[in-house]
Amino acid sequence: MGWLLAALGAGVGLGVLLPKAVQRSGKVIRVLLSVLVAALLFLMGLKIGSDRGILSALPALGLRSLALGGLPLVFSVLLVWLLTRRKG
Amino acid sequence: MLYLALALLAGVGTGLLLHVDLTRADAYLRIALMALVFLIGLGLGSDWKRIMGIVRRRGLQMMMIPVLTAIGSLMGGVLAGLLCGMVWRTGLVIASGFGWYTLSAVIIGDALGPEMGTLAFVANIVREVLAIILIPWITRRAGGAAATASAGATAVDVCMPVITRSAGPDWAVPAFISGGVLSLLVPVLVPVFLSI
Repeated sequence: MGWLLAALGAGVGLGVLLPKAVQRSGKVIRVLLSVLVAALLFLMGLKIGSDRGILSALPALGLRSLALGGLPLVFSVLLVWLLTRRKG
Repeated sequence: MLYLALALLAGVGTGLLLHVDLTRADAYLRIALMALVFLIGLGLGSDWKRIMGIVRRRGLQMMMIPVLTAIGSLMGGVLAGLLCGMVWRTGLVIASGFGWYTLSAVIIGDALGPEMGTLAFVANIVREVLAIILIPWITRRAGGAAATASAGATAVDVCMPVITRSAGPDWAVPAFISGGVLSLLVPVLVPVFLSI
């Protein structure tokens, strides 16, 4: 996670130093972000799609992995939503 | 927002149909992630005073997100384990990966064997993929905090740009805190739950 923190820190630092320049290029940054997010998700998908191990394990593990991945997500969303919505 | 799910599906399809050489994929993934986080940082830095004001006013509430996400994930894990006819503890162990599939699967596979390791791996990938697909919808229905919760530990990396795209750039800070705290908890909680 260190390299991630370094990238974030570099961005924040440059943003603090040159706020006007960053705000002027807001549109370019938004477009770049969209393209990069799409590229990131495409690469993630590529890794999953190319992994014959995961894909051949899916039929056997399908329902169990859906429950074990999905229910934790659902419960954390519900808990956070119920307990933070009034203050939000 | 549909294009996010489409990009992911296009990747899966390409991987299925073509034999792509993936030796560089992780490096590209890391470069894309670094560029993304850098750009998100630029936005935060140029608006630093206001962002710090938000952190000061709502810091405690931000810390609640990872705590509640962890509790909710573990509840869901126990329930899922019981529904699948497994020992409740196994569900707890797998859910405490919070979507960080590489690390949790290695620890779990080491302790419980390759079958459970694979299950932990796939289950945590499922969580991440579901989060990517559902975050825009969750944000509309329940807001940025709930969207951050859905991502678990991945709110600090892959899901962070998805959250800021849906909920707005201000959510980069809570996403980073929540995902960071949960990532730190994975190597602590998985071994603890394995030992009970």
